[in-house]
Parts: sequence; C-alpha cells; structure tokens
Amino acid sequence: MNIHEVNAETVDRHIPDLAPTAFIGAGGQKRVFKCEYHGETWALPLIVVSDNPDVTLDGADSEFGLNSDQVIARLRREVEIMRKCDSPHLVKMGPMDVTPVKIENLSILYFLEEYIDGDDLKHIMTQDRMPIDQIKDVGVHVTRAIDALWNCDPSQQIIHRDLKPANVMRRASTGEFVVLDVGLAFDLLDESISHPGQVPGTTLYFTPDQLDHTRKRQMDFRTDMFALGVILYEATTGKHPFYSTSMSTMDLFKSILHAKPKPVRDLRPDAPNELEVIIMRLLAKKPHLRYRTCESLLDAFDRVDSRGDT
Amino acid sequence: MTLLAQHGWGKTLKITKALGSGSIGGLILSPRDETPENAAAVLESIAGDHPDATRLFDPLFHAGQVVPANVGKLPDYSYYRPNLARRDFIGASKFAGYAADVLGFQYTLNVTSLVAPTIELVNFGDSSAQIALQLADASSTHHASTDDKRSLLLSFLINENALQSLDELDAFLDAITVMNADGYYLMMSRASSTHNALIEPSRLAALMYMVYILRVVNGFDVYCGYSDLIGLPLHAAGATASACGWYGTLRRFTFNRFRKSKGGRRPRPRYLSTPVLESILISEMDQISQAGLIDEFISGTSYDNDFRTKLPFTVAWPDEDAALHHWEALAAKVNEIESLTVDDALKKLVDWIDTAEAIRSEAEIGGVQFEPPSGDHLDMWRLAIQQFREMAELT
Repeated sequence: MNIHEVNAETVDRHIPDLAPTAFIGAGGQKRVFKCEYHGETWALPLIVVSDNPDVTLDGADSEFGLNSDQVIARLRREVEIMRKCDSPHLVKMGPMDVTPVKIENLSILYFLEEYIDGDDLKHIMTQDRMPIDQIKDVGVHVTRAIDALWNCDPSQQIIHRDLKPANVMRRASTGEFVVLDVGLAFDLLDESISHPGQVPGTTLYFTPDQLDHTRKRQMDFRTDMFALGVILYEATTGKHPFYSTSMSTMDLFKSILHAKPKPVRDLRPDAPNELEVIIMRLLAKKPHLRYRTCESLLDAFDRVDSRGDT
Repeated sequence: MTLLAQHGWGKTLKITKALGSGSIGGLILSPRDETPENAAAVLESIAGDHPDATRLFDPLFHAGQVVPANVGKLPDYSYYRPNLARRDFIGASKFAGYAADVLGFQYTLNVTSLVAPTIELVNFGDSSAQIALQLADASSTHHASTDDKRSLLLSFLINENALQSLDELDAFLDAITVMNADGYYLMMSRASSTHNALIEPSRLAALMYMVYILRVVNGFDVYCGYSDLIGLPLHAAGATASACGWYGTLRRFTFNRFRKSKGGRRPRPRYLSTPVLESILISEMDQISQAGLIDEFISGTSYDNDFRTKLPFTVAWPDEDAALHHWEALAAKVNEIESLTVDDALKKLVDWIDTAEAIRSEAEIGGVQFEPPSGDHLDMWRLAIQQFREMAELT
C-alpha cells in the first residue's frame, strides 16, 4: 500500500477514536482528512515515516535517514511550539498529540489540527486575477505568521521552510489567510530531489538559502520571506518568477540561484510600485538584501496603496 | 552624515575649536590617551557646551591583543584585559563578562551611544570572526537587560585582507543584519604603512558594500572609524558618520598604534587639498605655487588663505591649524554628498576624481613632480566605485 491508497475507511479501521468524514488534501508523504472528534470538526494529517514493512515505530531507522523516535520527537517539539504561538495566521493544534500508527506496510504519524473552512491560495490563484488588496492581505498575514513562528519562543526560533500557495488557506468566515503545515516541512519527507526532471510543488518554492550546499549560511526567517516573495509574485502576475514550462529541476535550481525575475509591473502594470519593490526585494538572492525584521516588512506593506496604479 | 574627531594623544583645543566652528559633529574618545577621570570630564564638558554633538567612547578592547603593548592609559580602565589570547575566549560566561565590564564603564559616561568590545577580525570565516560575533551578541544581550535607553553600536575591526572574500562577507552580513543593535562602529585594520587613501579596489568596494547593506538596505547607523579621505566613498555608500584624527595613527588604523615606537622622524607637513582628494606635501605645494596653479589646489577653508598670498614653505602651518584645516576641508566634501542618494553621491565622487586627475595632469605638465605614490589612489577609487555598483546592483 502507498499513502495515496489510504482512504477514510482505512483510517476509520485503524484509528477508531476518530471519525473521518472526507479526504481534504495530499502532498508529498502526507494525506489529510476532515474528521469529527468529541463533537467538533478537525483536520487529521497522516504523515508517512516509512513504507518499508520491516520498519517499526519503536526507534528503528527510517528509510528517510532519521530514526523514527527522532521524527516523533521533532514533530512533538514543533507541535509544542505551535501551541505556544498565538497568531490568527497560523493553524492551531488540536486536542490530539502526535501519535504513531501502522497501517499495513506504512509507518504513520498523525495528530489533530484546526480545520479551516475555505480555499487554499493555490486554488484561489487559478480563479480570477487576484485583486491588489487581497494580495496585500496575503503579504501581511503570511508575514505575521512568519513573525509569530520566529519570535514565539526566543530559545527555539523556527522557520516554516515550506511556504507555498497550497499551504496558505483563506478562512471563508473572515477572509484571513492562515499558514498550514508549520514545522512539518521535513526535507526528508519530500522526495522531489530524488526525481530529476520532475518538479513537484515544494521544489518550486525552494529558496537560494536552502540550495546553498556549502552550508556557509544559516537559514532564518528571511528564508520564509523569499518563499513569500515567490507566492506574492505568482499571485500578482500569474507567473512563477523562476520556473517556466519544460524546465528541468536543475534548470529551476539554477534559475532560483541566479536569475533575476522580470519586474512585476512588466506583467501586471496596475500593480502599485510599492508592492513591486517589496516583492523584488523579498526575491533577493542574499538574505541581507531582504528585510531585517518582519516589522520592517509590515511597515512596507502599510505603504502599499491597495487600489493599485490604475 | 557627520565627520567626527578620532581622538588621541595631544588633543589641546583642537576638538573644542572644531566643534565650535561646526566642522566636526562630535568625537570618538580614546581611553589610551586619557585617564578614566579625564575621559569622563572631557565628555561632560563637550556635552555641556555642545549637547547635540555625537560623543562615543571606543573602548579599544582589541588593544589587549598586542604583546608587548604600548597602550598608554588603558591599564587604568577596569575593563581592560591585557595579553588577550584564544584561551580568554572559551566559554559564554567570559563573553558576557567582557560585555558587562566594557558597557558597564560606558554607562557611567556622558556618551550618546555605547560601543561594544571587539577584537580584530582576520577572516570572516575563521575563529576571529566567531569571537567578534560572540562579543557582539553578548553585548547586545547585556545591553537589552539594562534600563539604559541609549543606542548600542556593535563594533567590528576588520583586517583589510578579510575584505577579499566576498562569499564569506555575504555570510557575515547575513549574520549581523539580524543582530539586535542600533548600529555599527566599523574600523578597517590596515596592513600597509603607506598612503592613507591607497587601498586595493576590491577591499574598498567590499567595505562600501558592507556600509551600504547595513545602513541603506537594513537601516542601521554606521560609524566608520579611522577613515580620513576613504570616508568619502564610505559616506557615498551611505555611512552615518566617519572619523578622522590629527596624527597618521588616528587617520588610518594599524596595530602599530599599540606597539612600542621605534622612534623615527617627525612626519613632514602636509596640506589636505580637496580638489585633488589628497594630503599633499608642503614641498609639493611650493612647486604648485611656482607653476602658478595654487588656486586650483586650495581647499578654501578658513585656515588656508596664506597659501594664496605667500610661498607655501613660508606659511606658518602649526599642527593644530593643519588638523583644523583638515577637518574643515573634509567636512565640506562630506556635506556636499550628505543629502544625495547613493547613486548621485557616487556620480559626484567620480566627478571629483575626474577633476582631481585633470588638475594633477595640468600640474605635471607645468613641471610639478609629485612624490610617489601620490595620486595612485584615484584610479583605485574609480575601480572600487565600479565594483561596488556591481555588488550593490546600482549599475
């Protein structure tokens, strides 16, 4: 069995406390279901640690290079941080902690998180052209989420590392944008790099900092700022700043590392100049050319006239 | 932008006169050359007479790296640590202790900002950089734990050779642009004992880039110590202030300042000619005067009128007048680029270089023989500006 064959019925059989009602999304080695628990609706992410039947969740090495105990510990630690981060722009953790389960050959971890009723940004971007005020909201709300992650616990500053349109939801009731999958973006769970020629979602949102294999640089919140720049560029222009059709993974990486994207207003002339300046600065290859603090980025968003230039 | 006095031995009345005339905007006091009591009194006096003046105290912690040392009055300061070696930088508590002692002393002074301790950073990728970063981090943490609301300047003394590795400089900038500080006090440790303004273009470009990233892109204040004429390209790149003293050792940083002097002759008198962006020898001024070109070399300060009417070698040119002239002339150039954008300031600087070269050519055609390496810095600066523009994507 592979993760994509896991359905609500399978989950119900193996995790009887929960009542999964619908499949709501998938990505990499993850599958998410809507479920009912103690009369409330939650999102239930299932994360595959291994599909090797010989691997157990009692501390044996996973095929992704980490001991499963380490994976569980890491998930639990980051879930704990999520509990501490009080931001309307970060998905809230639910009442069930990280728990291992074996479903046939799959070693899986699951937990409960806030269910957000609304569309993800990937879907929104495929509809009509996004209005400037909504793009600005994306920028402001995701920046607040980045800030909350980085500053909620000074002893353990964290970065998202997997910001992409599919991980940003618009809450239907308030219009607020909310960042999902916080702290769960394990590179070891993403198989994209091992399949040259294919460009799965996450790879499109890699940053120059993540591709710096000399490891001279340490990543910080400015890594997430770059990914936000890619998201805002796409939301504004409808184009990815570094990817074009038929590009190989290697070409994409080269482009992320070296190419200068076309100015935003060349593709969307009604975008305000201030918004273009922000997006192009977020896409700078070097972190020290981006914004020094989330606060300074929020100040820059404040100066964007949402009505656009026309 | 401001020009500051890099204080040292023998201040006499130079600083108060220059503050009074407005050619300097403040000072960076050296504890090597004043007792703790006098340092406090000097700062109080300046604060009383010129409350808006910038008043910094450079703790000279790095002087403790020199063995055997000639560190003047530094041993009178409780925070001073002589004979600093690698063993002195093992363990977080030591860094915290140095930061607390150095900043603790400054909290008692009437300074406008606090300056953190540092050591010479030999290479951005080696242990000296790690130590400098840890001292900065410890200072930031300590200052944040106090009630003192004055701004904190993290300090880095960068060996000019370190500025050749751009990848490592980038990584270093990534680290310091997220530090909790109000600004930076940067010094460049020079290896060469020749001309102040001579500098390998890539090193000057890298230093300009550092200033630009910290000040223009990330909004920190940037004070550049021991800058002299090199302060002009640094101001063009956005520096908040540069500093220059009255002796050679206060216009260009070398560790010789803290080594026992081997003696030697008194430096020959010079005149800062801003039209040629250089301090030229009075003997060269004589030749220029004889060639009938003196007006083109005069900086136009309140101290240099006699050079127009007399033969330069007959002009009384005491050290104090030379120092006051130097500040006034340099400050005038700084003021000219003060309100310009980086792009416009760089254009203005290139324009000055073009003019300086034209004036020098005219003088050479007129028979003036400049002593090498006089004038060699102009091409170096031009190249540095071009390299800096490429690095900062200002092309």
